[in-house]
Amino acid sequence: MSVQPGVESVAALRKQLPELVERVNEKFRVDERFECGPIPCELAVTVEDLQYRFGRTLLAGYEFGLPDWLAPEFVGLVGPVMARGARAEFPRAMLDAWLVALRTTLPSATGDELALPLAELRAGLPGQWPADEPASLAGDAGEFFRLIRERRRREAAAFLARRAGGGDPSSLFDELVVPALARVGELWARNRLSAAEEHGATEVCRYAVLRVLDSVEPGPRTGVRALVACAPGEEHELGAEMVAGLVELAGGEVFFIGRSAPEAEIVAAARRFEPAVALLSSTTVATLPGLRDLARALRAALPDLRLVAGGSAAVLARARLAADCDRVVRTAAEGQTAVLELAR
Amino acid sequence: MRRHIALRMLAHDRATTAGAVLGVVAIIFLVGQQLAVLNGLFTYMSVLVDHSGADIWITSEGTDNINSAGDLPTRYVDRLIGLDDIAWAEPVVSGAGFLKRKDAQFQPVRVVGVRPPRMAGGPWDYEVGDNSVLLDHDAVTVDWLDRRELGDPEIGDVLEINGQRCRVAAFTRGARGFSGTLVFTNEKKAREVGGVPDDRCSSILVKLRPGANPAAALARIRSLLPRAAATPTPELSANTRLFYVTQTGIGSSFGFSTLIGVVVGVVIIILTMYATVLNRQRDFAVFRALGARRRDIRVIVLYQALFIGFIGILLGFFLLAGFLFGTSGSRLPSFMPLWIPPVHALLTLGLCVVGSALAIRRAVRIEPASAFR
Amino acid sequence: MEPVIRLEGVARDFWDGVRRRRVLQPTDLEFWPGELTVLAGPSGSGKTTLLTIMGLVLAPSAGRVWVAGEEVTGLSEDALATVRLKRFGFVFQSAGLVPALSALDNALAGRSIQSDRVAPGLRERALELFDELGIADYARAMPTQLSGGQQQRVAIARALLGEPAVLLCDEPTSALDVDSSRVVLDTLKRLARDPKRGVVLVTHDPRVFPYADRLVKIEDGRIASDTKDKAEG
Repeated sequence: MSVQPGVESVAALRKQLPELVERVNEKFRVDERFECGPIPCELAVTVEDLQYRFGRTLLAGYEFGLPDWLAPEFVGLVGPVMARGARAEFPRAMLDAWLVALRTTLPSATGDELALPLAELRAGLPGQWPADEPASLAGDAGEFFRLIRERRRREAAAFLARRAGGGDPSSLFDELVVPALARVGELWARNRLSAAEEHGATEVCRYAVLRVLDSVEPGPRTGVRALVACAPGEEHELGAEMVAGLVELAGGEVFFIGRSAPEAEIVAAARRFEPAVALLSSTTVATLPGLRDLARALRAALPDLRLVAGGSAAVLARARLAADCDRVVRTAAEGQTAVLELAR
Repeated sequence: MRRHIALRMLAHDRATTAGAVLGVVAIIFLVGQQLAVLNGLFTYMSVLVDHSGADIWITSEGTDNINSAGDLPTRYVDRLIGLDDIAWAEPVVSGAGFLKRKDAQFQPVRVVGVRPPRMAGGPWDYEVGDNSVLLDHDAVTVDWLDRRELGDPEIGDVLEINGQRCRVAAFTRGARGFSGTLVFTNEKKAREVGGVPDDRCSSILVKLRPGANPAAALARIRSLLPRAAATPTPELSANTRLFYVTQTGIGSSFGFSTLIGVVVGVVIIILTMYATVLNRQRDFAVFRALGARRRDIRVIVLYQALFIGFIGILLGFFLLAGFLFGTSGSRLPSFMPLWIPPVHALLTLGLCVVGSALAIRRAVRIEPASAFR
Repeated sequence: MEPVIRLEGVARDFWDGVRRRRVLQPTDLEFWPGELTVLAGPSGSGKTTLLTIMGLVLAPSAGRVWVAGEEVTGLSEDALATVRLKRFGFVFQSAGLVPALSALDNALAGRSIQSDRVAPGLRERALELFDELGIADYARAMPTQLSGGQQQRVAIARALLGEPAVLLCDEPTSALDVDSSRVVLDTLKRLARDPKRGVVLVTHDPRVFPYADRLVKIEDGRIASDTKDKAEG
């Protein structure tokens, strides 16, 4: 990314985001009739929603000054739509809509500043969607992926339990479960798995993870109290759930809140539960502002609370999160370690 | 399409179009009417000459118009009839007089006496009666149109001219002079009334034999009558008219009125057409922007000018015909020679084109960019 | 692909009565077929000046102009008029119909202004366009009998009759209500889908922006932004 928009521009973007999204959608309603042709009907809602998600992603990316984030996020958002039959012009039309909306909704200088990264992205759009085929998983990760994809619940759980061998499963999570889940996501994005199949595979994976956690004898109670929650708006919870399980195994007491709870309710729960550490998860750039705001709200409510941020987006925004969180962790094992260390 | 556009624009701006048409009508009618009256007067000026039936007129030396001719020796008649080329020569006696009307008022008249039996130089058209009535000693003719002026005399009424007894014997038609009411009588009566001695006459009418060489005859006459003027009839007629036009105020008066008619008409045309272009600036700008060249704009305005001219000329001539019809047989002299209307129409059309020049100038200067403002 | 219009260093000065004022700074721009380009900017920004220069209606004070690959810089006024007639369709703010002519005659006038007769088949083509634009019933109506939207569609029919390479529209919706404006914009957008034709639209009406394939923002006589990369075509 060559240029990072200034603070005022980002503030203007935050203020005008609803109007911008409305304008983009308005343009899309026009373009739909002339440019892209009708969007496949099962995606109609998604495409409208897509602009809102892209807008939030854009805002978060600019707010957190992320490096090299826009292209992968755009591919992550648009790829599934393209894989499901949107016409080849769709990504360019979408960026055009954003460029027009930015330049017509915001003052010129601001609009230009915000539009520049988009214009660069537009200039470098891949000619084909998806751009490349991900390498298939080999070894145990590949086998675990095959089992969850085929929704072989008991076999997946047994496979994981066998590999754990009654010991700490944290390394298994990072080496087998996370790559298999990522592969599920990639195949969904390429429309090789339907949303139903993806959800099915994820649930089988969750079952296997919980079974393997339950198969290990937890350590003695340490009195550590930890709250594990996804950032508001964050839909991917299994990563956080794995950390929660690992902390419990280490003798901690965990309140796992899971995905997408409102900030106020998470804070209220924290007041009642009074944890020593809170682990907040964000895997999509769009949820980063929510994570930061949640962290600040928790700090305000419980001044002694230690905070850990995790998830791929949090890792990307590590530098900016440093002010609001004590630690940013990359893997489930790191998460477990961080929570336990900070609770002391 | 340019023609169609031009016509539709005219039809749309009816008021201004009507104004411009009015200008043309003014030119056609005012000028035409002036020309008709002037021509009518022309016929009166030389009426005696034109209807004499003579080829050559002998008048006193230095005569430039028949109405002011001096007198001649009557014996010249005898000299002339001796020439081979001459078929006949007849004296005309003319004198001024006052006719005493039935109501005892006096009216100046011009008495023209002609010699029986040929009666050359006499009346040429009668409402009532014929040349033979002038054989009677007292007989005089009065023009049908002059009756009221002369106190509504009836046939057989006895009147006095210069105290001499006269009897109205016939009514002529169109025998009206320019410098006074014409009363025809025989030579003898004219001498009595006008006090013209027997050895003098006003002019002598000469008719050449068929096949005679007019130029040779004229030269011969001139050598024979050194103290008189011998003039071919058409020349005398023209001289007479020219005299009145140049030597009296008639020419300048009619010329001025005609010029005013032209100026008023052209000014109306210029102003209304210019106003039309001003009112339609945006339309012209749109045409220019759409791809009209300057010449296309010129053509459109020119079509408008020609159309306005055409309609105005039609209307103007219609009015003029009404005027001519209304004045024919009236005391207002009007006469329209056939060559005048087409020339008048063409010149007026030319004026329309000239009148549109300013409008054209304005129209082609309209910037196409102004269509965007 | 060749740009329908290419401007190179085009600038325009105006004499404001006291001094020479540059209302359009030297500008390079290319307009492509198959695109609806919106020239947006506040009033007085120079966008209409740019449009009129592109439309060969106003001579630039400097720079060169190409239309459909042919340079037209320095052509005589009449030659430019002929290029306008053959290559451009104009849609003016408030339609710019001639009140004296019926809707059909207005449409025909655009193409037939250089001659006294209407080319064979043109009338039929105009009626087809009226039909396509949904104003077939109004061919004989006078402009004053038409709504703003209908007038603007007549103007579009007039602009299209010559099968122009470029349609230049100056604030075509500024005088229209929401529904009429939508119909007009839909029409222009549809026309811009033709790969042989470019549509350029000057406006500051935000209702137009969603229709833009490309947005060029003009401020203070300069291109402030352009959503299209110069390199691509």
